[in-house]
Amino acid sequence: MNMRQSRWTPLVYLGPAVFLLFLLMVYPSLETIRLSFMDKRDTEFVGLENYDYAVTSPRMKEALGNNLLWLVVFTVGTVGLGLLIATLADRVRYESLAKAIIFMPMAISFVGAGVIWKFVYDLNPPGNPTQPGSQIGLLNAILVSLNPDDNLADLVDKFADEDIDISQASATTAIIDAETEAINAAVAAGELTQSQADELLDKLPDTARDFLHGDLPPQGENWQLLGRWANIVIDQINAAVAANPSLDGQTVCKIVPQACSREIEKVEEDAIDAAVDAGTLTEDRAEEMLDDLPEVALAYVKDNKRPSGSDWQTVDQWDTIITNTREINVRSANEVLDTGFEPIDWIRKGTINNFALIIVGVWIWTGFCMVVLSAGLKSVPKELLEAARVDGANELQAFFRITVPVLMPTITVVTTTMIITVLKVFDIVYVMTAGNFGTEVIANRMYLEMYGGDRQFGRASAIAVILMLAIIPLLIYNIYQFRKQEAYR
Amino acid sequence: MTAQAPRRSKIEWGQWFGHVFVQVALITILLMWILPTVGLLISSFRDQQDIASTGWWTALKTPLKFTQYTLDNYDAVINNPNYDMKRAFLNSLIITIPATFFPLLFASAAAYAFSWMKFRGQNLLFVIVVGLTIIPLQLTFIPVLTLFNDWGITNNDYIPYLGIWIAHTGYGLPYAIYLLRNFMGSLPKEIFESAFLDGCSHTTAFLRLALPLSIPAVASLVIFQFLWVWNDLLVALIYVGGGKNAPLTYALSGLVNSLGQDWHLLTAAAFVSMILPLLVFLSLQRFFVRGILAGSVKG
Amino acid sequence: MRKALVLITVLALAAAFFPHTAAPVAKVAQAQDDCVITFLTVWSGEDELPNWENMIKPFVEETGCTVEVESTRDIVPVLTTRVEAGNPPDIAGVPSFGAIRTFLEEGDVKPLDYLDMDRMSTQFGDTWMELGTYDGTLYGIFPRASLKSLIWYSPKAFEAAGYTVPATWDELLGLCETIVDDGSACFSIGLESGAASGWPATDWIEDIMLRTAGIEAYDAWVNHEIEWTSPEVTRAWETFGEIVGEEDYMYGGAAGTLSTNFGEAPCALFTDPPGAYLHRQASFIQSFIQDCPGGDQLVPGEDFDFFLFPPIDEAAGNPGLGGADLFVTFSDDENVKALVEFLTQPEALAGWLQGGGSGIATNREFPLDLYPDPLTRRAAELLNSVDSFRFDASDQMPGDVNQAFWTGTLSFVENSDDLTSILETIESAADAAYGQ
Repeated sequence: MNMRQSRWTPLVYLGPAVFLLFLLMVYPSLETIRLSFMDKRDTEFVGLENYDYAVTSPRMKEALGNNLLWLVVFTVGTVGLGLLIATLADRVRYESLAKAIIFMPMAISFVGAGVIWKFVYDLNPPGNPTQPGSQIGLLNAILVSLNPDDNLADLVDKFADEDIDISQASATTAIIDAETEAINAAVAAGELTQSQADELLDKLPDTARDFLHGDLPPQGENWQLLGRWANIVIDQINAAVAANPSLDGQTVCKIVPQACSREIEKVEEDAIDAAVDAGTLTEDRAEEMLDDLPEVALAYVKDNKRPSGSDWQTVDQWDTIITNTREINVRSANEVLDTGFEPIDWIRKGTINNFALIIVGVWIWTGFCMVVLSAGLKSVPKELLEAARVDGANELQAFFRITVPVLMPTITVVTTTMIITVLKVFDIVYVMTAGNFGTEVIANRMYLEMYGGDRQFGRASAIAVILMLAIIPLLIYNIYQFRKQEAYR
Repeated sequence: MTAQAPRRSKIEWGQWFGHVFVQVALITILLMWILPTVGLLISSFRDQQDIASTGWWTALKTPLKFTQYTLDNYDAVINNPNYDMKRAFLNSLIITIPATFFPLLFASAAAYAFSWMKFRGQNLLFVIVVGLTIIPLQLTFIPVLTLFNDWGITNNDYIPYLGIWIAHTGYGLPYAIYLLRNFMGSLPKEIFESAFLDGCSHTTAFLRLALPLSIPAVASLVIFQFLWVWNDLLVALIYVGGGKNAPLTYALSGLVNSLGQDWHLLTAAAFVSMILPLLVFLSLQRFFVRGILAGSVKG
Repeated sequence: MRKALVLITVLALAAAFFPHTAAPVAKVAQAQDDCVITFLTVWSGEDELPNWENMIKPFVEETGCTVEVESTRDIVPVLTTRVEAGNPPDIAGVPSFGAIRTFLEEGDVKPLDYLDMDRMSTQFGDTWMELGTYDGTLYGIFPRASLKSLIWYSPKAFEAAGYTVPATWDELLGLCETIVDDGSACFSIGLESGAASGWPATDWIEDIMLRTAGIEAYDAWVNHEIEWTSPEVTRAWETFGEIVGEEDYMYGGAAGTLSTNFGEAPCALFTDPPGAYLHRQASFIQSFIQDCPGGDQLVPGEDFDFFLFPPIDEAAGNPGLGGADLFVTFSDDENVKALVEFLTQPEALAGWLQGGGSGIATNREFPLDLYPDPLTRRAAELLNSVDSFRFDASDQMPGDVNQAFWTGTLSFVENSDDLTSILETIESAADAAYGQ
C-alpha cells in the first residue's frame, strides 16, 4: 500500500495487544506445551504418554465423538437460526424487540441458566402419590397433557359407562363434601381462621370440578392442610366397585387396563422366578419372558389375547389374578393417572441428552450469531436487492443470490467463532450432567483432569494442545478468506 | 395497461403472503425463545414450595390472583444479610468498564495494523493471535497469577482490580482482534487510499476513518465483552478473590449453600444480574442501523 | 478524541507502573497492623456463613482478628491456583482429600505440631487423628462432622402402617418386601447433585462395605490394596443391588432415583400417603427435611427420626460412617495458629449449633447438652459409641477414582446387570491414580 509507514508504526499499534497477549496467553501456552510432555507432578519427561491418553482413553473417545456431534448440530443450529432470525427481524417494525428477545439468553449468566433449564427438562418420576403426573419441567408437562387418559374425569366416565354408581357429578360432590368437612375440622382445630375457611369454601366447587378435569389440586399452604384430592375420588371408585357385587374383575380391568396389567406383572414375575427355581424354565428363557411381560400383560388385559407357547402356560395364573382384581388400590389407580405417557429424562437418557444440552447451547449462542450477522446484513446494499427483485427474483432467490454471498465473510467469522465455542464448550455440560450419562466433552474432560481431583496437568495440557492443533486448518481458511477479501475491496 | 393490473395484484398477493410468513415464522421463534425466560421470571415471583412442586405455568391459570406472587425471593437476594449486594454490583461495574474499554482500544489498534499496514510476519502473527482464542483460560491461571503475585499486581490494597482488568483485557483481545480485523479489512479500499494520498497519517486514518466506520462491529464487541466480564465468576475468583472486592456473580452464587439448598433464590438472582447487560444491549442497538457505512463514505 | 487518548495513555501507564510500588506496602501493612486471616471454604448461603461467624465469635473477640471468608463451590481450582501461584489462603476447609493430598506431597501445607498432641489424642478419636496425619505429623483437623450411617423414617407413618424398625439387613429387606406389597415404595433415594451426582450412592456402598467386608477390608479398599473387582467390593455392590436392582423398592424407580435431587429425596417420606418409608442419608439431611412441603411443621423425634444402618454380617459388626470438611493451613502465622487452637477446643462447635446449624463435634469432650435437638444429640452419641468409625471412603480416594466411583454408581442404578464392566472401569481409573 502506498502510504507513509515507518518500520515502527505497526509496533505502536500492535504493541499493547501483543504485550498483553504474550503475558496472558502466549507464555502460559508455551508452559502448557511443555507440561503436556511431563508427568502429573511436572517432574519427569513422559514423551507422548499424555497424548496417547488424550486420544485413546474411553472417556476422551466419548468426548471426541460428542464434540463432533456438537460441532455439526450446534454450529449449523446457531449460524442457521442466527441468519434466519437476523433476516426475518430486518423486515419487521419490532426489530429491536425481536433482537433483544433472542439476545436475552446471552445475558443470563450461569446463575440462572441451570435453573432455567431445570424448568424445561425436569422429570417428576411416575408414581408420585401426592400429585399424579405433576411435572415442573415444561417438556414433560406437555407430554403429560398430550395424554387423554391422565385425568380422573375420564376414569370416572368410564366407570359411569359400565353402570357403576359413580358420575362426574357425584365425584365432584364427593370432593366437595370431604373437603368441606376437612375445612371445618381445620377451623375447629385452629389451623384455619373462619375467614380463610370461607375463602376456601367459596372456591371449592370450581376447583373441585377443574381438578376432576385434569387440573392439579390447588396450591397454597391452606389447601395443603386438607388431604389428598385424588384419593377422595379413588376411594369413591373403590367403594362403588365394592358395592357392586355383579361387577367382575374382567370389567374393572377393561376400565383401568394399566392398573390390572401391573398386578399381573407382579404375580407373573414371581411365578417365573418360581418356575426357574423349580427347573421348569431356563434362566435365559425367563429373562426373555420378563422382558416381554409388560407388553404381554397389557395385551391380555385389553384384548384378552393370551401369549402362545408352553412356557407361558407353565406360569399361567392370569385368570385368577383378574378375578381377584375387583378392587383397585390407591397406588394402582394413581399409576393409571401416570401411565399412558412416558415422561422422559431429558438430560440422563442416552442420545437425547446430548441434543438436550446442544439445544441449551443453541439457545444461548444464537443471539451472538444474530447480532453479528445482523450488523453484516445492514451493509448489504439495498440497491442490489432491489435490482434483483426488479429482475424477477423472488425473496428466496434474492436471499441466496445476493445476501448470502455478500454476507459470506461475516458468515465465515460467525462460523469460526461457533466452532471455537464448541471446542471449548464446558459450562453447559459441567452444570447439567458433569459429563455423565454419555455427555462427556473435551473441555469438561480437561477441567476434570486438572481439578477433578488428581491434578493431571500433563493430560489436561495435552488435550489443550490437541485443541490448538485442531483449529489451525480453520485459521488458515480464515487467512485465505481475508486474502480474497483484500483482493476485492 | 389492462394486462398489467392482474399481474400487479399477483405480486401484491405474493408480498402479502411473504409478509405473513415472515411474521408467523418470527413470532413463533420468538415465543419459543422467550418461553424458558418467562418461566424463570414467573418462578422468581413464586414461593419456594410452589416452585418445587408445580410448574410455573400453573400461575398462568389464574394470572390475576396476586396472592400467589411474592417478592420474597427478590428481597432475599437484594437485602441479603451475608452479602452487600449494592457493593457487589458496584464492584462488578468497576471491574467491567475498564475490562471492556481497554481490550476494545488495544484490539482496534491491532486490527487496524493487521488490515491497513504491511509488515513482515503479518499472517503468522495473525494466526497466532487468533489461535489464542482456543486456549482454555484455566490453563493460564497458575502461570499468570504467579507473575502477578511476584509483581504485586494482585493482593494490593490500592488498586485491587488491576489484576482482573489486565486479565480480562488479555483474555478478550484475541477474539476482539479477530472480529475487528475482519470488519476493518472489509472497509472500501478507496476511502483509505484517497485519505493517504491527501497526506493523512495512520493516526488520523485510524481515529477518523477506521474506528467510526467500524462502529457496528465495535458496538457488538462492547456488548459481548461487557457480558463476558459481567457474568464471569471464575476469573474474578482467581484475580480478585471473594472478599469485599468480589463482583456480583460471587455474591449471587453464594446465595446457595454448599449443599445446594435455596436454589430457588437463583431465579430472582438471574434477573438482578441481567438488568444491566440488557440495558447495555438495548442502548447500543441503535448502532446496528443500516446506512452508517454508506453515510460516512459520502460525507 | 485526542483528550480521550491522552487519558487512556495515562491510565495505561499508571496501570503498568503502579503495582511495583504498591506491592511491598501492602504486604508490610498486613503483617504489622491488622490481623487478617483468610479462610477459603465451600460454605455459603444463608445458614452456613452466619453459623461460621457465630462459631468463631469468641476467637474474634479475644484476638481482634478478622477472618475474611472466601467461599466457592469451585474450591479445588481456586485453591490449586492460589497455592501454586504463591498466595494461598491462610486456612482452607475442603470436602475431599484428593486435592489436599497433592499439597501435602509438595509440602505446601503447614504442620500443626504446635498443638498439644496429648490433648489432641485424648479429645479426638483415632480415626480423626489418623486422617489428619501425613507422614507422622498432624496436618489437618475436622471441626464439624456428620454421621452418615443413618436411615430416616417417619415414626408416625410406621405406626400407622404397623411397621417396626429393622435390626438386621435381612429384616430391612423383609420390611421392604412388605412395604412394596402394601403398595408403596421402600426407599426414597436421590442421586442428582450436579457435578457430584452419584455421591449418595457411594455412601450406601461404603456403609455396606463396612458391614460385609469389615473395617480392615474397608481400609484396604480405600488405599487400593484390594481391587475394585475383588469379591469383597463386588459383594458390597451386589448387596446394594438388592435395593437398587429392584425397580419397585425405589420411589420413582431407577429413573426417579437418578433424576431426584438428593436434597428433595427425603420429602417422599412425609406425604400422605407416604411415597416411600425409608431414606438413608447423613445427619445433615435434617435441615432439608424441614424444607420439604410442610416440613416446617415436622417435629424432630416425632414426625421424623432415624435408626442406625443395620448390621449385615455379624462378624463385621456395626461400624459408623461419617464425613467432614478437612481444615488445613497454609500459613504458620501466630494468629492462624491461634485460630487452629481455637477450632480444636472442646466447645468450638457450640456457636455453629446455636445458630441452628447442623453438625456433630468431632471433639469427644463436646458437652452433649449443647446440641440443640434430641436427634442431633443422639447422632452425636452414636458417633461416639459405634463399634468403630470410618471416614467416607470416596472422599479419601484420589479425585479420579472418586469421579469414577460417582459415575459408576449412576450406571449401576441405571442397569445393575453391568456390574462387572462398571467395576472394571473404576479399577482402571484406580490403577492409574494409585499406581503413580
